[in-house]
Amino acid sequence: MRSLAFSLAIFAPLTALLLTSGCKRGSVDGGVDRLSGGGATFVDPIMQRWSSEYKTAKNVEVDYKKSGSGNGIQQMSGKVLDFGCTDAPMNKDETENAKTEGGEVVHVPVIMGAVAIIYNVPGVKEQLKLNGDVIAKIYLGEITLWNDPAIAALNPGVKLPASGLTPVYRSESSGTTSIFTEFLSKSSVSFKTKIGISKNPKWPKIGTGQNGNDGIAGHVQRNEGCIGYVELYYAKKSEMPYAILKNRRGKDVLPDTENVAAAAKGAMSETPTKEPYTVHSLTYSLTDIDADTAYPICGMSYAVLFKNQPAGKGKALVDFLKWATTDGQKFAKELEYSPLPTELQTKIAARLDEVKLD
Amino acid sequence: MSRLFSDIFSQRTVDGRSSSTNLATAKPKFHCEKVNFWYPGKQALWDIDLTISEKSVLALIGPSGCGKSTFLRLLNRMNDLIDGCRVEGQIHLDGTDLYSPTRNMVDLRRRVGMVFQKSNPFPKSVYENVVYGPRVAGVRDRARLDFTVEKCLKQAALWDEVKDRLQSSALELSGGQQQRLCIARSLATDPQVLLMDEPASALDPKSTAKIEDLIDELKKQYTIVIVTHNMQQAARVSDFTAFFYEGRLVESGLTQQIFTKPTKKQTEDYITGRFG
Amino acid sequence: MSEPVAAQKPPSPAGDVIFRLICQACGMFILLVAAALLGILVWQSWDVLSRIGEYKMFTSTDWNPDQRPRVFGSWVFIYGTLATSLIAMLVAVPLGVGSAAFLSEIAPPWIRKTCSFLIELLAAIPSVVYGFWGLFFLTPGLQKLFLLLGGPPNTSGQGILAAGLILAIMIVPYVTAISFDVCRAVPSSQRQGSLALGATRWQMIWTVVLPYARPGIIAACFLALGRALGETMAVTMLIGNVRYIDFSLFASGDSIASVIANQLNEAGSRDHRSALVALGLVLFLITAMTNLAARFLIRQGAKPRVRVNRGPQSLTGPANAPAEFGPLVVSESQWKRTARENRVMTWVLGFCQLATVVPLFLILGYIGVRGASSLDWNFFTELPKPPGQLGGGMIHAIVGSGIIVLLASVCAVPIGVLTAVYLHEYNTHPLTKPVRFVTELLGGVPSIVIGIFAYALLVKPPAFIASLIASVPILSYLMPSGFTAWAGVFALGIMMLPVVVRTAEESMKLVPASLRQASYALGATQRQTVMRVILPASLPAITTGVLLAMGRIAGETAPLILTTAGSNFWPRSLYDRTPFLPGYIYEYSKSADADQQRQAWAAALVLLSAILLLNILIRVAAGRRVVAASRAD
Repeated sequence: MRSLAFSLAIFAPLTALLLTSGCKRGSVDGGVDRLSGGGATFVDPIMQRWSSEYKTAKNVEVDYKKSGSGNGIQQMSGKVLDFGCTDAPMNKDETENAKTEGGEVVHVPVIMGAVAIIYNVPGVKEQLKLNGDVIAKIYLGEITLWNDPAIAALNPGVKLPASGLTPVYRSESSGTTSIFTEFLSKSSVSFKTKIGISKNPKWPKIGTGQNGNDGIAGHVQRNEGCIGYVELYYAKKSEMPYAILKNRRGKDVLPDTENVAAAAKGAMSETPTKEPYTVHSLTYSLTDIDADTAYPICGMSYAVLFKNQPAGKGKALVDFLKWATTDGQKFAKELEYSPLPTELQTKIAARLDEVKLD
Repeated sequence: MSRLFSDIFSQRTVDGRSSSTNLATAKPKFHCEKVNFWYPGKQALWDIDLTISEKSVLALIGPSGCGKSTFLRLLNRMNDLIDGCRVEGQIHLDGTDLYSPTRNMVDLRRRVGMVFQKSNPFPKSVYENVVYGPRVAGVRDRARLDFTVEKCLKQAALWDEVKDRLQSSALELSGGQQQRLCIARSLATDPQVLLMDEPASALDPKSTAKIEDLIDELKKQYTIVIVTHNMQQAARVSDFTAFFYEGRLVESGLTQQIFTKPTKKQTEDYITGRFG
Repeated sequence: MSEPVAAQKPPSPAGDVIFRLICQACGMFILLVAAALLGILVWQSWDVLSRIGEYKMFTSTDWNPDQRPRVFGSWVFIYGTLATSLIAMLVAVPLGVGSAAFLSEIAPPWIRKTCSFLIELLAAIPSVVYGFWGLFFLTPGLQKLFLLLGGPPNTSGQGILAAGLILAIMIVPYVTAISFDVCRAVPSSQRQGSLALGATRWQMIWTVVLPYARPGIIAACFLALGRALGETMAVTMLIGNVRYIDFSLFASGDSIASVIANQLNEAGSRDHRSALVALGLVLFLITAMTNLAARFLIRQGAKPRVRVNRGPQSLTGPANAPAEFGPLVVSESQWKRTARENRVMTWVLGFCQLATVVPLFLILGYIGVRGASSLDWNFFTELPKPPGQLGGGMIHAIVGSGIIVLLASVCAVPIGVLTAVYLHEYNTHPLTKPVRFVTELLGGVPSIVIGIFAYALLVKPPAFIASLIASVPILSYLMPSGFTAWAGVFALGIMMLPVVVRTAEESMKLVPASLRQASYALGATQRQTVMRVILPASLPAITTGVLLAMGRIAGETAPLILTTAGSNFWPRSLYDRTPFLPGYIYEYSKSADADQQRQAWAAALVLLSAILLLNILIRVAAGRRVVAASRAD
């Protein structure tokens, strides 16, 4: 019998562990102290800040892992996450898909920000001026050198090198890419027909794909000749120069919190007419807004969650989102985001009250 | 005891196997003086003085571990492959210092061929085994290689057995054939000396007899040094015999003399089978 | 007369039977796992495989999961996988075989000892650390080289070549180590035979040692190829992740393993997921074939194959009867040429050895320097801080990694050891051969494929399995859905299992038969003999193997990204997302944020030191212990 006891002894720790974690699990469902979220990298810096502040304030751990908007949508739909974040509202397919898994999905904006164009041009430290058409040509592979006449014409007096130009884009399904391609499609007909708006478009035979806003920022930082699009916080953190863009009214604007707010103000004054903004309430297109100081590539990040939520966890989630979209907005400017307008905050609270807890 | 060996020697005379060269006037091929040798951490040979005559057969005999194989491997500097071994004293080949720093080892090993205790054909065809030496020496001429193969296999008395399967694997030959192939392979570099380290110890009596006949034939052209454990074999094939014991050369001389009238007690004890 | 018969009965037949059944059950468990792996892969990819034409899986380069009609042309990834592996093999095989020949035939013993140790360390470095190093060291260098060589200006250094080179560095240790072993196994009589015929050392290596070792070296290459094909993290970090084929060496691309790691988590539609699993199946089949080829060759390996001409067997007739040739005379110039060739090739082989171990120092040095300057006490005490706040740490990830690795070992070791007992002791059982075969097969499955398996079975189970789990309460504890530590433990445990089985069986073989016979002679049953004599005697060797395997899985990243997904908080239970250190290296290494880069360097240094320290300690301790174990008689 000794050998049997020996075998049991080997398995004992395993059994014990399974049992203890089983007990733990029971307690998790009862008193919620951790919410799991994930998705957009756009929103990650402020989400980590919220998570840290909210833990101190309410002792609830908001465990957000950045992995791209598409990922956030899919994991939320598959009920692997309690909530997802995306910078592009879910399209029809995604909404249908989620409906079969868990019913209706609620979108709430959590933060607004700018998508900056960063670059690493040997010898150029000044802020270049670019417009939508030129950026579209770059991402179509039509401009391949930094001293291209189109770039030079926008930047008189800047000494541009004849070095190669490599566009960097996201390798995964990304809301930031969706915002960026939306802007380029509005600026260039040829971009619209060849590539179009997508979270995960098929790029032409040029450039390289990187994972996450941080991946693009890091790649541009490390490799000469590269140009990329990242949320403003990542641009500032990379210490790379970022471009001044011409907006719809032909004004040169910098990406900053005021210019994002201006874009948001313009966007909210009109009713969205296009998919996917028509599919969900409280979703807005912030690109290429017709206003004097509006920065042309702005975006909003949304939290997405099922309308039907389990009682304990659902309440905790709704509480957190209410806190983030009100009190939490005060951290926005520190992290280069633009806080949500007050009238939108009240609409969000009302929308969150529609979440059914059972 | 002496009856056994005297039978062998009388048989040799009948077979016409007695020395074909004039042993007394033969030129020395190797000349060793005060040779000492150390393996890492231990001495293996002490003060060996020995002269080896050209175109004769010298048998090295002695109990296991007496240093006879070590001595044999000094003659083509195979011991150099062992890290940390050391030689002192003089070994001359044709009057030139074998261990001089300027000695071309590759050339030396081509001139002093070696056949090992266990046959070690390469996993190649019979043909490629024989031409290995010429090939590494840079011979590319096909006619020359063909000539070498035929000549050496005939010399090694293997030609008739393999001439129709030259391109098949050498590993398919029998043990005795493999050993004769190794001899043929050694002959292909046109050596002057052939060192044989118990070449027949792993073979059956019939193959052994073939190898012994071969040695008798080869000594017309080559100087042969053979290590053997088999007293009768030594008596049958060699002209000279050197008896090693515990790293020292006890006695050397004409085979007939060593086997019939040894001067040292140790030699007599060994030959009569009282030890070893 | 009945009394003596009764006395001869074993003391406890029931115990023996139960023990045998447990061992057999463990063996069956491995068969079950392998069957489930293959079954899940086929089942989950069936949506696409059954309509392969419609999705243009193998007929198109267009991979378009988001727009209708969806097409999953996978030639981009297949090309990327093959091209990077080809580059890796072209670089690694000559280097590896060269340095193996150098170590085996030329190097003095102290160099041989040192270098083979360094090569083992190189093999222990995790993939994600290679990738990290490649990002900062290799690709910027390659970009400059491209431009210098007049490559296209629009290159970022990343791409097929960068990924191929990092793979080469990663598989060189495998080629070298196995080739070294087979070179050492060449009988010394072959070497002496060659030298005695006047060959130089290089000629001996080239014409005798390497041909003799050829089957073993080819096996080594197949094993290395299998590893290169399935490698994930380093490739995904360096290949450029694009969806087009460009046959230029400078071009970016993507590989099968990389696209699975990037997209499986975000695959929304059924057919997208199905297409990714199908790619996993393709990868599984390719690597299984290379590994089987390798095993086959190794089993054949003992005897060298003879290359023979099928042409005329005799010399070509009397027409060719040659004129007499004089004795072989070698000209002075021929001498010099041969000697020069020998000298040059000795240097070349030495250079191969140098080139093989230099990356180790580059990696250790670069990560050591950057990591040491980034490491502080906070790293071992704090959780990550939100962006903009300095001084966070990764204690939670260190603990998380520790827990996952320990639990994986706790699960894998008993099953593995008992399977080994089954294979070794009950080898008359009809299923031992299939179990051994399947274990070997499982050992060669790329980690990303194991990741897919765990993901498709546990994280997001198909509806059928999900409803099964929901209806059987106990299953919800064994197979919780969602990202859980348990799924990670499962994946790593499966990766560890074949290693444990193999080490345990090998070390049991080392136990002298006399010991076993002595035990039986004293009347012990088979179970008693195994538990009291054989396992204790082989325990040191098994422990060594298990520790080495733990070092290997501690650095695994790809399967954990798909299963435990990581977390910013303390590990809480087996049913939560759980942080793991390599995940942070991957996440932070690509960042442009100086603070995150610092954390990544520190994490890489900590992971690398832990793994290398483990390896060094094992080797220092094991040398004696394994010998002691085999001398148990």
